[in-house]
Amino acid sequence: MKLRVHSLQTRIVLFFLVLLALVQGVALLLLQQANERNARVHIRQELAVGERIFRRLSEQNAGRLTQAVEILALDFAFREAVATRDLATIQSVLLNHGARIQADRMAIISLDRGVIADTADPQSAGRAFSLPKLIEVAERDGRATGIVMHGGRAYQVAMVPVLAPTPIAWAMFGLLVDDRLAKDLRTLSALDVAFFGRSDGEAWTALGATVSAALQDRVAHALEAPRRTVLELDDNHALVIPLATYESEVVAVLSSSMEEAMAPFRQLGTLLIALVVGSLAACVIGSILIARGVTRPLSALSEMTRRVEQGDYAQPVQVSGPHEVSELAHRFNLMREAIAAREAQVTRLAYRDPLSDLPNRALFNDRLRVAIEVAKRAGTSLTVLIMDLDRFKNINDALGHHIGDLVLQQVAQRLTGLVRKSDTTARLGGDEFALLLNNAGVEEAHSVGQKIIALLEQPIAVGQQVLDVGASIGVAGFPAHGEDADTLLRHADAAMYAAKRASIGVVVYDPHMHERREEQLSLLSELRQAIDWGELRLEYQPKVDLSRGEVTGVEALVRWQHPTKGFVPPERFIPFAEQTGFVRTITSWVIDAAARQAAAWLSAGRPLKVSVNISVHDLQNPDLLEVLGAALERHRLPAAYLCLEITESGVMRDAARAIEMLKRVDAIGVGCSIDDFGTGYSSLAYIKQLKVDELKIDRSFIRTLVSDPKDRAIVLSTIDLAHNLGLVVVAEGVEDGATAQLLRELGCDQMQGFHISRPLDAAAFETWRGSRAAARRSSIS
Amino acid sequence: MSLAVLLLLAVVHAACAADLEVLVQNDRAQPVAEAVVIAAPDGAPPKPARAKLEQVEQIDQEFVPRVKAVLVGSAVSFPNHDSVRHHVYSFSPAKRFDLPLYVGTPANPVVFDKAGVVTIGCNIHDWMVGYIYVSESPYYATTDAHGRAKLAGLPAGAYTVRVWHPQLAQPEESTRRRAELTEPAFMEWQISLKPEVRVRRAPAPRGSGGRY
Repeated sequence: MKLRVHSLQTRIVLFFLVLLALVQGVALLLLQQANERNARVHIRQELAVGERIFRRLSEQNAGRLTQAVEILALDFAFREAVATRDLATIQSVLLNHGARIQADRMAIISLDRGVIADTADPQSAGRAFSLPKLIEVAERDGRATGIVMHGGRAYQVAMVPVLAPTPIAWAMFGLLVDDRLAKDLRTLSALDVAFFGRSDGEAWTALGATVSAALQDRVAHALEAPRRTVLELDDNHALVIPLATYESEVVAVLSSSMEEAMAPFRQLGTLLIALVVGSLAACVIGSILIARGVTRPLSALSEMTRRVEQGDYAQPVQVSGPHEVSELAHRFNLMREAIAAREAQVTRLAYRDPLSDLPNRALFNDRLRVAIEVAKRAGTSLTVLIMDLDRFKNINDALGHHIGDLVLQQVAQRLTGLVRKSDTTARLGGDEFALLLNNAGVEEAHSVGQKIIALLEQPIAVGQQVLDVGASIGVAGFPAHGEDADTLLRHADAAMYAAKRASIGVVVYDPHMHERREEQLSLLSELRQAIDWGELRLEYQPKVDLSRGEVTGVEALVRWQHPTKGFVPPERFIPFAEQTGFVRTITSWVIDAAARQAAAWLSAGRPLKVSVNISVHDLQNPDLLEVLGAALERHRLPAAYLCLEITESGVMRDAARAIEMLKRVDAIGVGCSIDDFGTGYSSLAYIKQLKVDELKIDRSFIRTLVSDPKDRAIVLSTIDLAHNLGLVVVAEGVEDGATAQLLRELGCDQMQGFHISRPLDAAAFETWRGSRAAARRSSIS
Repeated sequence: MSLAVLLLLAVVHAACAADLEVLVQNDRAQPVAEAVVIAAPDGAPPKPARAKLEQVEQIDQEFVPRVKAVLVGSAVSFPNHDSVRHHVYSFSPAKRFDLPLYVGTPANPVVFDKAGVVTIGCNIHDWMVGYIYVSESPYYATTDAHGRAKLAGLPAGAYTVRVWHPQLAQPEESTRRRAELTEPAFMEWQISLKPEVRVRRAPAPRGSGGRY
């Protein structure tokens, strides 16, 4: 397992490790300090005890020496030898007695302070004794003890007089102050002992010690005047004890090392450190185990989320661990399942058309791209078909979206039944479908298109109704008509529109279509200029009262005289104007021009009601009323001389809006007329609500009125209906007198058509009107 | 008895003799007892006086008297009145002797035939110290507790008078004085003494001191 500093496990382990190490470290430190303090106190006490032992031992030694030398001094033979200065005897007795108590120095000094004998310095016999002060004390006290230096060595000495029975000499015994004495002292006191001496203020020299030469040197350097003091030398504490001396300075130094004082602790310390190390190890292991209980499941969960991130929802996470963790894992699994379900749903929504359950545009595009790549590599071909239903909008508008949806579903079913499984059928949106035929040439695609047309010619039954749905299909093939998806789709689309315009079912893309389209685009931009440059004009076709024969009004029709192309028929530019919305601008211009003409006629004393065609787009234009109002005002024209004509199908496309708009138009006094009545599947319920004054029967009924009794019946009932609703009835497309006569018999109010006059410009209309008035006057007269 | 004879002789001689009274004091003008005062006549000593038998007794483990002046040539016996034995000895140059352990009086007295100070001790009882001053002159006396002494019957003439004491801190010569004695005279000394160095007396065994 890799150690990462930021991993939970490492943090947990580190936290407990550091905490424990800190606590134990502090405990150890405190213990160490306490122990050092204790050791210090202990050493001081030890030194104090040592000092007492030392003093006691010194006293005992002094006592022993004194006793021994006193015994010697009272020995009769010795006294006699001294009295007689029998040197040989004196010396032998001295050695004998000295050996008894293991004295190191024996001396006999005369009363006049001359050396009689001195075992430490045999050559000094006859010379003056070097320690007169010792004798002075002995003279005063009867005895003298103390430390003396001689020949670089120190002795603890005791001096007493040799009494015979009065003093005849001084006898002195001495014990060497040396390593042996130091060792004895250490045995008793458990302290290290060293003796240092100096004469005449020279440097201190070690006389005897149980400590190393190095330490002796350090102590010797640290020593100053002989006074009781404690020296602290690194690890050692040394108690300096000045000794009673003569003619020189001697100190005893008792020392104890912290090392020794701390020794018991050291053992404990080692044990504690072992305990610390052990507990740290246990801490690490325990922390790792506990952390793993958390981090292992976390790693498993993390691994699972990584898989989910990569889109793999299949594997559930398996986690055993503490309750919290397994609960979390359970939740993760639920989340994973929920995400998987939702993603499936989202994918379906993203790539499926929910209505038809066919692939949608996105999926179709994807498949098309993939198919193109495959075809490119394999050198094969493929084709794209785009199909748009004819008259679907009518079905939707007339029967409602619900019915429209059912129609779309049935169309989808028929399409999928027709194509191979390797092909893709998609609904691109609205009533537009697309097919991707792999390994299919344009001819094959064309025949598939024909099959589809044939299939859709069979009526579709939706509930109680049977509907006819046609379709237009455009075909584009790879690689002939495009090498990428967008181009192919665009071209298939263009072909489809061509088919729709031509109403010929299936059209294979042809590069010329493209040109036509571009021509339309340029036409549109020219149309914009047409208004500015005054290329549009109006022609007027009169309406004539059938019974009286007089002209009752005119229908204004827009004409475009292109400067280079000449006359452009309305069906060439009005549909495109409608598609682009530019028709509103045209309508505004027409209303204004019509109002101007109506005002001109009014002021000339020959008033006429002018009707203007408006499209369904105009009905959706909230500014229409303003445009109307502005035109009437600008030309001071009473509203009654203006009438709007709207086709029945236009009304039915959005009946509610049409009802509302016509109501408002009526409110300002402008008249309204339903055009092309009889073709728009209108419901009588709507007609009833429309605020209109006039109904214009479509020319398709009028054309065959004389020959077809059914049309005659339809026209008759329409006229009756309109009259019953209080509307004026106008027949359009009247081309002969027989028809006019029949209409008159049927009770139609007015007529319009080539039988009366074709559309004329204003001037020509004036001429026509003048000649007709003259003709009527002559016929009457 | 013999002392009376001597005194008589002195009185006879007194027509031409004088008494010398002496006071010895220490530095602090306190009387010094047991000081020996010796008057040595100029010229040849008079006819040698007859030596006498002197005594230094041991009573209660002490020498009695502690200081005893004797004429040179005198014999001194050391009777022991104690129940314990004594072993009297001297390592002094003037007279070296020792009387091995004895009870009562030793058979032979010790003859002091040389002038000088003889310090005597007992080898058994270290604290016992005694002094025998062996004088070449027959004119000597020992001061009493009041520091006084009297040298009687000194023939008129010139003398050198000196003082000795066991603890004398100065040379004996420094105490010498000249004196022309024709009639009773009085002399006074102030001497400096050093402390006595003496072995501490051992405690008496039970019953031993019952006699006194």
